[in-house]
Amino acid sequence: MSSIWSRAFGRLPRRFPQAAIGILLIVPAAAFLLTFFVTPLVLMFWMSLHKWPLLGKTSWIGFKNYVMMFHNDVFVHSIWFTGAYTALIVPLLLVVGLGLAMLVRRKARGVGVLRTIFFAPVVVGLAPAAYIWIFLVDPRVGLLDQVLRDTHITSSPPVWLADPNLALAAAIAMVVWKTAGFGMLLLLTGLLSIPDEVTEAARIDGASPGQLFRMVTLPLLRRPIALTLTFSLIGGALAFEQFFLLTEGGPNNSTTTIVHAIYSTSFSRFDLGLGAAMSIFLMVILVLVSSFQLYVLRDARADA
Amino acid sequence: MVGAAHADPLHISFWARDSETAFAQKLVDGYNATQDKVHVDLTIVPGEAFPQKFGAAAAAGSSPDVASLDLVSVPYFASNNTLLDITDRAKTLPYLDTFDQAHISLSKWNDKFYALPFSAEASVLYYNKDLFKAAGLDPDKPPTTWDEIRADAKKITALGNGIYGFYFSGACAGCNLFVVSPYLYAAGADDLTGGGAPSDVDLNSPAAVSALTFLNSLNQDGSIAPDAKADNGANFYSAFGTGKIGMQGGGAFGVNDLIQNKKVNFGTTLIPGPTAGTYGSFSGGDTIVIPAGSQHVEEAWDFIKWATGDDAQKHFIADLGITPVRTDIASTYYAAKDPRYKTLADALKLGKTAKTLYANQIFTDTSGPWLALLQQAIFGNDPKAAADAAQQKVLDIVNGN
Amino acid sequence: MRPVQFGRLATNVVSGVLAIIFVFPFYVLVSAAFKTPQEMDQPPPTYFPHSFTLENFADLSTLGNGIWVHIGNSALLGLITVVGTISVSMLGGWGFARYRFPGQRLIFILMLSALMVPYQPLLTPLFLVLKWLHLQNSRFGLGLVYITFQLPFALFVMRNAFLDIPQEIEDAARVDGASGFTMLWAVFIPLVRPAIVTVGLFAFFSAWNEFLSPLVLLSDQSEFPLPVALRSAIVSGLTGVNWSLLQAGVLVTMLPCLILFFIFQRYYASGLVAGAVKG
Repeated sequence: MSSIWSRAFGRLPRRFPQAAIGILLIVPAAAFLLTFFVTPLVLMFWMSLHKWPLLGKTSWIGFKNYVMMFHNDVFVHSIWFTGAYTALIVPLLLVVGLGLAMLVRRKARGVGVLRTIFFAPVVVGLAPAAYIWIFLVDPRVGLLDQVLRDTHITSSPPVWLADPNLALAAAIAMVVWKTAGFGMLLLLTGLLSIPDEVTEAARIDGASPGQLFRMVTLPLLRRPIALTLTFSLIGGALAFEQFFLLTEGGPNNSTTTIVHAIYSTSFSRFDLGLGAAMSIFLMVILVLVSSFQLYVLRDARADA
Repeated sequence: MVGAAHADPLHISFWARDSETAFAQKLVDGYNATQDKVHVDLTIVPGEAFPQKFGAAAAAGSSPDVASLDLVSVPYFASNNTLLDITDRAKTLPYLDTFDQAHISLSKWNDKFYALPFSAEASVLYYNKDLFKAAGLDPDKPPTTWDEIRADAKKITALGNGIYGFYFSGACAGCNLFVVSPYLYAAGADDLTGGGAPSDVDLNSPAAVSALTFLNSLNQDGSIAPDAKADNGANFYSAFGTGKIGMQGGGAFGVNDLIQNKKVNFGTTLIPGPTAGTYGSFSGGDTIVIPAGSQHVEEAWDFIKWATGDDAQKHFIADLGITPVRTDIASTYYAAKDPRYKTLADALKLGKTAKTLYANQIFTDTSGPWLALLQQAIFGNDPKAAADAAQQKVLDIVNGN
Repeated sequence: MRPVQFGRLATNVVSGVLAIIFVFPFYVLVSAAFKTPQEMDQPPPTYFPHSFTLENFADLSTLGNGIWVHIGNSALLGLITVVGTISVSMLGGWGFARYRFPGQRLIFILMLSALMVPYQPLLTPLFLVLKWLHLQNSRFGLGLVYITFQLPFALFVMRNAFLDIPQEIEDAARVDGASGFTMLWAVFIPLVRPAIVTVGLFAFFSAWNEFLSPLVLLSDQSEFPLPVALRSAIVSGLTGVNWSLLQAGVLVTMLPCLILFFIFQRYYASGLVAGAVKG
């Protein structure tokens, strides 16, 4: 078998267009991406310039959708909410991830178990996690309220999903539980790759633990930190399942994210054109913010 | 003769909502057993995604041959040429007049039939007889006016120990079209039945506001269980099933579930209005339609004829505890099974429904104005303001945003 | 107590508390799955199932079209996605890493940037694209979509892995007469095995846990994978949720992921790390 291949490829002159082989190799990936990514993307842009109901006639309306979407209460609120949620979750995931990473960095007994425990939620789906959480915070059958009662933290625990802030808190708790392990791993690698000599040298120079952390550890963690921040930023901006399944966007649309608003617009109100416009808007924002973030963090590395 | 091959049955596709799982397969099996020329293949589609999937299939040219459609969705699809006009066929049915009127009104568009009633759900008020007794109320005299509901609820809540007088799934849009709109109807609101144009929805009429104010008063009294506000329907019947709720609205499904699975001693009564003798009910359920893109119209019609006929309505609907759309069967065969079924049959006769092109966007969408109205008007402090705000949103939707 | 000992004690206590907090939701899940619905319905909720039962798992056959149907769907999608993603990204990563062609850096960055595009809104036009290919409402079509979503990350990881192979190894192998596919098969693949496992695991987990795409792109309940089938248990009908049944379903859904995770832990972690710290 391999001789056939080597006869086919091996006998080719050295100067056989390496380029051609390279291109051939990436054709499958390119084909997938072109068909199932680029085409829908272009189509979506095209749809955003039309009044495009699911059933019925489509009509060209230029950029009107882009104007109309800002008159939509739910959408406008979702922009604010998604921003607030992202602003909360990004630093939270970083801090918790870093904390966990530092806890599991040492070589003690049982640290491996800890690492597994902290990382396990990452591999289960967001949907199953949400189903557990709905159950957990249910006022009638959920154990969370029971724990609060039994530990005497409060005798009348709140109905979590009935209050906008508490519902948000519940969702954030779920996402942190599910995702912190990922950041922990990224940051752990970073921590482990800091050479011992460097930390030793700093300590010999008389640095306190705080100074050590600020001046030595953090700068050397720039890479993993940047990566963690980028992932959580994208995840925050695109948040959907955690709210769709846990709070259904309520109470009263207070926890509706941008993607959820897009979903409602396209699939409950059948206004595909408007949904497409909202999507393009979200994409542009995301690309701008991510690029900006990468630029800022990349630049800083240059002088580390 | 030996060698004469039996032709394979023709397969036709039938879509039903997952809320019909209890009877859909049995019904389909029943039909397939009556003849061997046509075999109906049942596909269950999740209810919350049904309009989207049905519409997407129509847009993509892959409609099923026959489908069961939530009755409030019919106007939208009929107006969009997604459904076949079956007026002439419908007129051949001898029992056309026995169908529940609310269903018929939604099955027609511009005076033509685009659907036929299929299964019904009528809303009634459940009440826990044991709790009534414990609170010093007569278990055979359920409330007949709003004031009585209010007073009874207060007495029951006073029993304490996690017991509350009233319950409903406060965060569920569709559920409450079913159990809250009756109060608006009982007050005389014609809002939701499209008195004028089919797009007429009027959530802030005086009647509607009075109903919302009444429900708000129950909340102010503390008679509504605290977990009602966040319940998206997950605990719709299980709350009442714990025996700690005095009264709540519900339909046939709940009656069956409570009888079979829970040990609650309960009765049913028509949902009262502001004064004695006024009642309200919402007629929900499904219609059965032939999509315009159906590949097997004749066979689909034959199935529809059978499904709305006596045999099917009696043995595959009424016998399974579900309210038949045929009022003649409902008020005799079905009502005879249990006094609680009789209440359901009576409710069906006076039931109203919501006829609008925008049912999905207004009433079933969790980010729509109906749910927002309930959350604000009932759990807030100013029902009138909430109603005005909701009505404004309705107008925005109706006027194309 | 000396500072060092106190520090260690504090760390241990904090670790312990965090471990309990992290395990708690899993515990709640498991204890619910083994409770009878009757025990579940009677508040207050109990910590330990008094009525230990396996009936919920038996009742899973009533969930949707029967739990095995949905497990089968999820497994099929997982298989398609894993096989497809590994093959395509392996070829692509190899091409980007060890061959030179014009525009390769730009093309690579473009492919990566797909990570920044939310796929949810793309679902509607995707529906149309699938229809044009006669793949609407099919698990195979959905699998192709999953593969596409995986590609940016998978290409990234595979390219890095191939880049890591020192030129000397390639040269030595070439001297020995290997080139082209032999090179790939005999030489490279063993060296990038961790990356392959990483890509495969990520592909499997994504496909297995995906919720929105199958909700939108599949209509027939009998084709639904587990996460969507479970959702019907929450919103369908008007009878309220059977919590213990639902949690039993969630447990079944989670189990393969957790098992695979435990088996392949070191690959998963190291592959992720290798991809992250380089590149």
